[in-house]
Amino acid sequence: MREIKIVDALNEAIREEMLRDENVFCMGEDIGAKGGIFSVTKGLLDEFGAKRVRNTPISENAFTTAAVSMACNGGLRPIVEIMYEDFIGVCWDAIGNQAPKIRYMANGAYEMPIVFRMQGGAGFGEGAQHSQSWENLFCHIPGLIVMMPSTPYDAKGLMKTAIRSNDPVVFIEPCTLYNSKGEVPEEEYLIPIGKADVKREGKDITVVALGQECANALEAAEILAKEGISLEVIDPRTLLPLDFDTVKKSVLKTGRLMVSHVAVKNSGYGAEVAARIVEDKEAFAALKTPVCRVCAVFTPVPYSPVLEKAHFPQVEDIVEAARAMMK
Amino acid sequence: MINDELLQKMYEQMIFIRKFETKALEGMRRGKVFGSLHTGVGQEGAQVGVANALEPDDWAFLSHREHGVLLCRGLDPKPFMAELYARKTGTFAGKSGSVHIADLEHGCRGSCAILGGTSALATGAAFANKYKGEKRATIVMFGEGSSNEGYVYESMNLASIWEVPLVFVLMNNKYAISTPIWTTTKTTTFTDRAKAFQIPSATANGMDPVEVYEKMKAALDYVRTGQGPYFLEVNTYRYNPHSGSDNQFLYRTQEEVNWWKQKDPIAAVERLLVDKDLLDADKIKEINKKYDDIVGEAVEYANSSPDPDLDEVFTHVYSSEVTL
Repeated sequence: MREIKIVDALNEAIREEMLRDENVFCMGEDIGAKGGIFSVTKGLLDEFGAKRVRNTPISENAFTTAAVSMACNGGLRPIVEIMYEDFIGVCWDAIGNQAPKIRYMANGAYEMPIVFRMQGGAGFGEGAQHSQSWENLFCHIPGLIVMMPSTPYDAKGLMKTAIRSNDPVVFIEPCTLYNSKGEVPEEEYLIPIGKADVKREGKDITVVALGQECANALEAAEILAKEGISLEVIDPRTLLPLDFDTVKKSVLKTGRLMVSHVAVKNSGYGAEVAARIVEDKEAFAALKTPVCRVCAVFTPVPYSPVLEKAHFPQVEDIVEAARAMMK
Repeated sequence: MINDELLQKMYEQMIFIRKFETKALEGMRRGKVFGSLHTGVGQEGAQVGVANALEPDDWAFLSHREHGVLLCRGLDPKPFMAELYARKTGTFAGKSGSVHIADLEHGCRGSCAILGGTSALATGAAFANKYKGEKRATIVMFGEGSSNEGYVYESMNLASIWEVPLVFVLMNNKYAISTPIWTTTKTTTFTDRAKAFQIPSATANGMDPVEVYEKMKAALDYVRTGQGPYFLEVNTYRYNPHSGSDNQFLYRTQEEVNWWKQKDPIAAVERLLVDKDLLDADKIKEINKKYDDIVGEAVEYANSSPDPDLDEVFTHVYSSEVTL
């Protein structure tokens, strides 16, 4: 099967959906001629024109909320690029307040077919205000769907599902993985909302890993396999709603749970996964060790590459945490 | 010039709105209406002027104080009052309340909490209509208070560069809750701000529904040509406190309120109709009774309706495609 990068998988997904439905269109800063700062929308302006690939002024506050209305009032299916996840501070009315509430307040009178795309994670020395991972803020909001792929296959299938969904989707693209390659079939496929994927089967420790940390966990699993420690690596893919059944099934088998993400540990997604497991009688009874979170330390993201590395969880951190769990 | 028939219609609508809102406030005092209820008593002239200038297919995005526009455009007062009473028979089955009520059938597309955001919602809707080749115009009504949000200016800029058929209707009632406009901006007319975005503009006396109607018609005619948005500032005044429960005399005087009441739009149109021999004491009495009855029936309907079923708390969080 052919192998392509995540960035190209996303581009294909958007292009295919734009061909399929003329109400699908893209908007955001620098997404036109430049194709977005990570080139996810490259070539789309030439193919579809400025009506459907619309550069916006630097007005995130208004254009994100305008897009909400294009979706729920206007019957369009906007794909809105927010250049950095950090910028959601000025988009929060749209994402936290409008998109997830309008259907509910109107007792189901509206649909909300909108995708907010944004890159998350960090590792390129962009400093504290261009490096944040705020997935858990979105996961706190009833009414949102939150997706974060870690492979090209998942990126394409989830993006197509997100665009066709009638619920607002926050789609987080791990920026460190844009150029990572993987198998993607030529023929069309979709990935359902709320379905996790077991990326590697194992018997000793269940590792629920998000985005970049899923890639790290798979690397750690190779190292640990040589020591006789077997990791089962699960990528939830859809963070909200979480495919709890898949996580629980794995924990019942392994008796150990580790959660890893590049967001800081405090009140992070790992806390939710851990709480769901310990709230569940069967899963709690199956635990042989305390749950373990391998996440970023509780500081802003520093600029220096040395400090940045110290901030984010590395492959070695997962390896060491796994060894400790098995002692 | 507007015809006598429209003038009579607007007169009746103003009476209807004032009675409806007064009864709704009573409901709040009796513990039947919850949260916040923002009445536009005093602003009815501006509301009927704006609403009647719209074509049935046009869309209106409203502020929390524009119940009157919903009534003018055709929202049935029974489910409307039942929504304020948080009943199962309400417009949105008790899930929106006053602030988020909408009426999609009659082109009233809702309001929201961050008041400047309504301008962005309206801009997006007008964009979508243009994208799809729909001919309708869109309006957004917002206050002078929220006009100090950057949200509004980002929206005006977007509407201007996208050249969408949208009328920004600024209802300047002078007070953002308790804060007078002259303490929050040096602007004396908001049309100055429209100029910054190359948006043509006008001002209207909101105590005169005829003037508002005519200027609104002109604004809508302009945006229908496809040249872009228009900005209309309507000077008006609310007689009541901001919402059901604040003491307005902490921030303004009874004398000031009385001064504005001398300009009351209902009284002004009433005098005009009497002068034209289109109205007399009997007819006035008859009209008042008609709307007392309509509003009374709406209150009775709301009061006798059941609460929502408890499992409704979980419905419509997501589309039917998603299960948690």
